[in-house]
Amino acid sequence: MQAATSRTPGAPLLIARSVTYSYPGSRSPHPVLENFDLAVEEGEFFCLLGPSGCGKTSILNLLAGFTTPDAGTIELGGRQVTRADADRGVVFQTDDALFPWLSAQSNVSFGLQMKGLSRDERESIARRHLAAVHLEGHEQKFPSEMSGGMKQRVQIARVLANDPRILLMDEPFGAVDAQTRASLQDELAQIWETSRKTVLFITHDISEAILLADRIGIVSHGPRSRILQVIDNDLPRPRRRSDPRVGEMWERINTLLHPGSKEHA
Amino acid sequence: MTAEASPHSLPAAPVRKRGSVWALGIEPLVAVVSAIGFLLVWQFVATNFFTPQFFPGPLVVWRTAMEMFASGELQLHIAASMKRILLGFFIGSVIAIPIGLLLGTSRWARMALAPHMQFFRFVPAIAWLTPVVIWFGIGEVSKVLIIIYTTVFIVVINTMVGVSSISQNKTRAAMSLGASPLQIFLYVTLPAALPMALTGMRIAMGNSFMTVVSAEMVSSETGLGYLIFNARLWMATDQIFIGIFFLGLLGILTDWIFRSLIRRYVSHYGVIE
Repeated sequence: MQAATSRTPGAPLLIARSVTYSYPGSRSPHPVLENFDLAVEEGEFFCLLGPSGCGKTSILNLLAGFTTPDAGTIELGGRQVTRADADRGVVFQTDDALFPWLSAQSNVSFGLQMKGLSRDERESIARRHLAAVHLEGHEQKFPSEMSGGMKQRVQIARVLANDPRILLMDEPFGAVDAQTRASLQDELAQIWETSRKTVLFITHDISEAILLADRIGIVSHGPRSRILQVIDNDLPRPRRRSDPRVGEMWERINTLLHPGSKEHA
Repeated sequence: MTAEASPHSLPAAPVRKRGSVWALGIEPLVAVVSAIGFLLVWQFVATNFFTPQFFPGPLVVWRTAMEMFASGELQLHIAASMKRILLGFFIGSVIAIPIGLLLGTSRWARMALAPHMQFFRFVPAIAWLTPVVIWFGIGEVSKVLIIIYTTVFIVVINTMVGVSSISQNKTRAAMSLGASPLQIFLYVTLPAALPMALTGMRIAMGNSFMTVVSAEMVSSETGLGYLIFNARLWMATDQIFIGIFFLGLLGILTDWIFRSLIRRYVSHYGVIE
């Protein structure tokens, strides 16, 4: 059905096998995922694309190890995921994941501090990663002094500074304005091209998926969500929104997401 | 507080810098004018409509205060009350914050202890005064205990709420950045709960002022509460007014110090005040 389309040889980095998960509902449990399979290759940018309410955040929580599946397994690099750890860096949709009592620089060094790195090492790594997201000169600012876009940049820098094996991004640009979103997307694409860090990116925005992803996993509408199809995206990088091939792919994916309807939402 | 510029706001326009008084803004000026106006009205009403025994004016009160100050009596009462308030307040906070942190983090502790906290929160400290005096005597211990009691519950509950209202995303972010449970407690729970704990302490400070007066009225030889209560025997209304004035003044002063500390240390939360 989907699984790995084996673009790269070797076992995938992140694997979900027949994962089933239910929300503990008030009367009966709400089945969010049933036999959900996923394989993310090392070094690829994988987008999970699905409508709101398809359980995308539940998938991320399971992959991050914040919650545990009712059945099935999740593996990272051949080892089973049982709890959250530093090998999976999470970028959250909302900025309440930042620590408001810490400056941008201290937020970015948080993981390094937990690892016991010296102050000097932390500072130089944090500064480098803040510069990579174009926040040089803002190191000493606190989250309350930054715009929504800046805060999401800090979140990305914080995760990259911690050097995880994979980045899990849960609609990270969903809460910022369209203009900022576009520039954040471009910046992320640029950062990814230089770092080639494995990314699992969750979104409901078709254009965003096309602009960023190597492969796009279309997630079915809930309940009992699963991946309907994995689409390869070989468009050359850097990608431009005006590229006619982007539009063609958009049409194709939109038809998959909304079968039978010709709406251009 | 609009009067003071936050360290991050834009530099003040150069025009405002000329006179040092004007640089403070309009707020203190209005406050001073208003206070002077209040004293004038008080003096006018007191001298024109009442005898000094019934309703003394500010000049009479000022004269008595100076006499009491010269004899050292006033300082004695102020120091006695402040010592009780500060001692009880600090001991109470030191006891309450760990309990609040425990109740905020442990569901079991919360289930077991929260009902007690909610119950005693509504029993005023003064209700305990007689048993406390029977058990611990009429000395300082009893009065400090009463202040501790006043402080503990409000600080426990605020700290608990502070801990349990930490957004899940913060602890999750810390986990996936590699923080251990102990590190999460130290580097996320503690700083995140700090503003609520401080807010609880600020409320407790206010409550301590009320409680100390009642405690000193019932069992004491010193303190502003004693001063007020004892003065009733001689109809010394001016002395009562002095006690009232200093309670208000010291309350404002301690609250101001506390607020400055809060602002200094947790200004980045954007929620305080």
